[in-house]
Amino acid sequence: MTSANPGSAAHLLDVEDLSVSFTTPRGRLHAVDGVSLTVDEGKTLGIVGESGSGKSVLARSIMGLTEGRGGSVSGRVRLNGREIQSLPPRELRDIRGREVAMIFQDPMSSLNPVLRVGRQIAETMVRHLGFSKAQANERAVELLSQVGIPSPERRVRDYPHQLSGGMRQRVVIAIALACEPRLLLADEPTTALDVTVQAQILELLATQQQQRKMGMVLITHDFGVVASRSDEIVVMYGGQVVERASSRELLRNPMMPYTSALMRSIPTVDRPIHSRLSVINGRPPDLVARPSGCRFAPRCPKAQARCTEEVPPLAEASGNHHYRCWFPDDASATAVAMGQEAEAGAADGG
Amino acid sequence: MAGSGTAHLRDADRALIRVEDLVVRFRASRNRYVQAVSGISLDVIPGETVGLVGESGCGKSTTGRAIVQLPPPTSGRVLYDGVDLTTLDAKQVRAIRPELQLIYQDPISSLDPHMTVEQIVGEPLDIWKRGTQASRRVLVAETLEAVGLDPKATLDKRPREFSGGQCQRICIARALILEPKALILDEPVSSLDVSVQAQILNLLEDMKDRYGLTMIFIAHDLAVVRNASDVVVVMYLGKVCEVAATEDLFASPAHPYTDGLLASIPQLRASRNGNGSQPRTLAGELPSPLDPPSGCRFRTRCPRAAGRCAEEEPTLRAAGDSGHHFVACHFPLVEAALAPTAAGPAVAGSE
Amino acid sequence: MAHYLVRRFLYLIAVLVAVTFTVSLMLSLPAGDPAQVLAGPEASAAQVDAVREALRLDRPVVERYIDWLGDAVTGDLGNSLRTNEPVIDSIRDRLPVTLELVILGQLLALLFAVPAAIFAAYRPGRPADAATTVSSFLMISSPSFIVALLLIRIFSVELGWLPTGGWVPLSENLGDNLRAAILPVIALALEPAGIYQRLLRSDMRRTLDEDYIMMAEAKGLGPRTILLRHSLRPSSFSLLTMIGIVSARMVGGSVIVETIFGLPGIGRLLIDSIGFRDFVTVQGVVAVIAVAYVVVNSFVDVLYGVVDPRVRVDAAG
Repeated sequence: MTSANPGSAAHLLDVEDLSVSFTTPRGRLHAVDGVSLTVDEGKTLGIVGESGSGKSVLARSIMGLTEGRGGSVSGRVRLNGREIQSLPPRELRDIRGREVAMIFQDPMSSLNPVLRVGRQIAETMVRHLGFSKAQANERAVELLSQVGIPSPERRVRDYPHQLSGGMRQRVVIAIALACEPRLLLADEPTTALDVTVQAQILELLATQQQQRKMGMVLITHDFGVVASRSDEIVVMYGGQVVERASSRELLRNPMMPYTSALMRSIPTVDRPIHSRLSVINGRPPDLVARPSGCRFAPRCPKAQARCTEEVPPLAEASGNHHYRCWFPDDASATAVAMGQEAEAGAADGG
Repeated sequence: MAGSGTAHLRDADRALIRVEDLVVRFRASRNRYVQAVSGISLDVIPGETVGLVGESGCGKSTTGRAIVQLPPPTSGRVLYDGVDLTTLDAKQVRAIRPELQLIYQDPISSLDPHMTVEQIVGEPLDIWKRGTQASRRVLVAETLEAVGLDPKATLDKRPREFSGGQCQRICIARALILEPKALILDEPVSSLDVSVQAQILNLLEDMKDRYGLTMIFIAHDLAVVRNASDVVVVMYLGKVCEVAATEDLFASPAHPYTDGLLASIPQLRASRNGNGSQPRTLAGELPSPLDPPSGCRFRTRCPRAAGRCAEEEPTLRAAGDSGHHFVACHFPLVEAALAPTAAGPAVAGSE
Repeated sequence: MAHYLVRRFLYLIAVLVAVTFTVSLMLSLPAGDPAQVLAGPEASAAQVDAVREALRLDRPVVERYIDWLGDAVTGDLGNSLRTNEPVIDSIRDRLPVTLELVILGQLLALLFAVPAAIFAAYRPGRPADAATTVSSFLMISSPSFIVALLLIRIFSVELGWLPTGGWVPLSENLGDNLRAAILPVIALALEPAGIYQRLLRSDMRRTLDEDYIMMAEAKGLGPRTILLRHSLRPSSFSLLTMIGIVSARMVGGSVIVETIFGLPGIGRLLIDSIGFRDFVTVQGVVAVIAVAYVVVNSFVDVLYGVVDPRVRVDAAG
């Protein structure tokens, strides 16, 4: 079940009930299950989840990159009101790199090792904007300078292995921005980088986004990154959206136990040292043989009988805060949810 | 920032591990060398956990390996329980190994995929001929339980059947089965998921209590290091920037690099800059280790750098008034509360 | 870079010395009198002595080798024991034939293999892939002499399109030269073609799984660009290595083809000389083949650097 996407105006990105599954020797693997979300121009949506949550597969299927790799996709993805799922391959290729661009996690493996960096930036412009090679090269130098690479005229002739990790990621960003996309999907853009470089890159992305008024989807496992950089946060678990709210609201008032548990298990710098971290026992769910009921129930400290029987729907609490839980942490939220379930006082206090 | 100096070392007879002026040099090509570690010193008191933190290229992993002589450092002393390991021959070093174990970053590739868990965890006992067949089996089972694995469910399986977190538990069991005195952990949780990280960190705390371990915890994640360590050593480009008791380091960092590192942690933003202004990120790139900056190596990115920083390499000296807080900087953020001469060697004389 | 080339050159010398010395050494191996063996059972004592004299068999092996080496670098590979003609002349006459066969053979093999591999890698599991797989395996498993005989049977005997054998040098008549070369080249190229196709297809499949290919797709690039510009080069390393190795094997393989088609190449020269126990020629031909092999492989080494920038010796270090 999904909750309806709010807003009458067309969103920049509108994902409706997207599901992606793969055939594996063990059976059908459901990587993404009924995900809906929206992104607006100039805003950042943060998607947070651990490995196996489906967040990367989600990003790739928005770009249409999963079907060629054995994924079967259902649901709708609309970019600026235009449905892109059903587009013929050639038109889809026109959109990729042009209207929506993607940044991958590891810049060393996402850049072609045998091609010069300038070439890899220029080829998108030649392809999409009809630039000549010379024009594209000039623009590539400009882009390198915009992403903060010193001596861009020299760097443009370098190969990826001649650059440091931070610089490579800047090149990847330059490639993504080259054709002035409306939407940027950043899949763990800083995970492979040092923390000081991470800060620089996030800063760069934020600046570029502001200047170009792009919508951005920031996918990460790092709550800190998502908290400080997104307007809205979506938490994913087991292929589903389990909570969605504005970042301020989510940090203040997480309702789904997974979200709170996740936030508590991260070592932060304001807790006493040598503290025992709060743990989420167990392992991420098997996406082939899925648990019946709530995907998180096997690991949830508050699980009840109902949790293992029925999958909770994505319910809405006040203030556009959605959560997927029968017994959420916030008492006031259950009052709203009860309107949908007509069950009284079943909430187990937090 | 230079990491020269030994002002921060405590009495030699108190330390279980004491590293003095460690230098590790690698050959980059025909006649060019990289000094991964350029004269660092640190010490660890029994029962203590020292966190060694820094970004890529700072030399922390190399330091960890040099301590266990894998491979032996280019120069410097590594004293374990009073004995300088660098002066021992291979056989003598080998004899120490049961007491000083290393845990690696990637748990999955640290395990031989062809061996069963029982063989893996039991191998150290075989190598060192401890106990009998029967007693070994018992000890393996006990150790597996201690690290949170069910022996019945794991003994006969092979590493590929386990997750990253479980593999790391197996590695820890393997390291602990010889009841070492000290553990050197090289990024033990970096490749694990967040929720699993928490489990492993808790496990390490438990093991430390149970086995009375002394640890050197190498990591790039400051929050992780903070949770696990008593003392933190911050490294940059082969040198030590700052050494302090954990709370002091985080509460009042003395070195501009440490300050920059802390400012870069996304989570920390809100609490340190409550007014919501964007904190400054550390500018610039890591200089090439083949050709590090003269004087203080951090000066090319330091907002406080002055002429002196290019000419003279700073040595570690006292900072703050907590007693165990040292910084290698000409213009630290926190000066020594007492007069400089009382705290450490004179500033002149770099390495 | 210069340092690198000097090292390669020294390596070349070392290999050549090792190979040719080993050949020299072989004379000392058989039981009995090597001169007698070489001269043959019907030779008179005088003839045996002549052989011993010519080959300096009474000297120690190292000295003998050094003498040979000294002569060889000035181009004197001795005289054939059979015809008494300078070995270097026979080689000079016959080398171009073999070279032409080998070069055309490699080109033909690649002409088939590269497009077939790309196609198969792009659509794995589909009919095109299956078809090329089967044909590659057929090509690899067919012995070249059977193929050669089959080709002669069909194209020369039945259809009469092409000659059954014989050679027309390039300098005389291009058309006739090519007509003489086609069948032998096909026979020679068959096995390498199959090997190259399998190798390249497998490497390309692996490359296509890489993140940078997905990145290229995410940029909106089309399949042709991705296949040709982004995946071909990173997938060619094994192929390059193989080309180097096959070049040497082809010279050996050319023996069969040259014999069946009656072509005056050095493969046939080698086999004939062995049959005639013409040791001097054998030593000379082996030396030439060894040189060719090392040169080709050094060239392949340099090509690695061209294809993969990570391998290049950086001037800046």
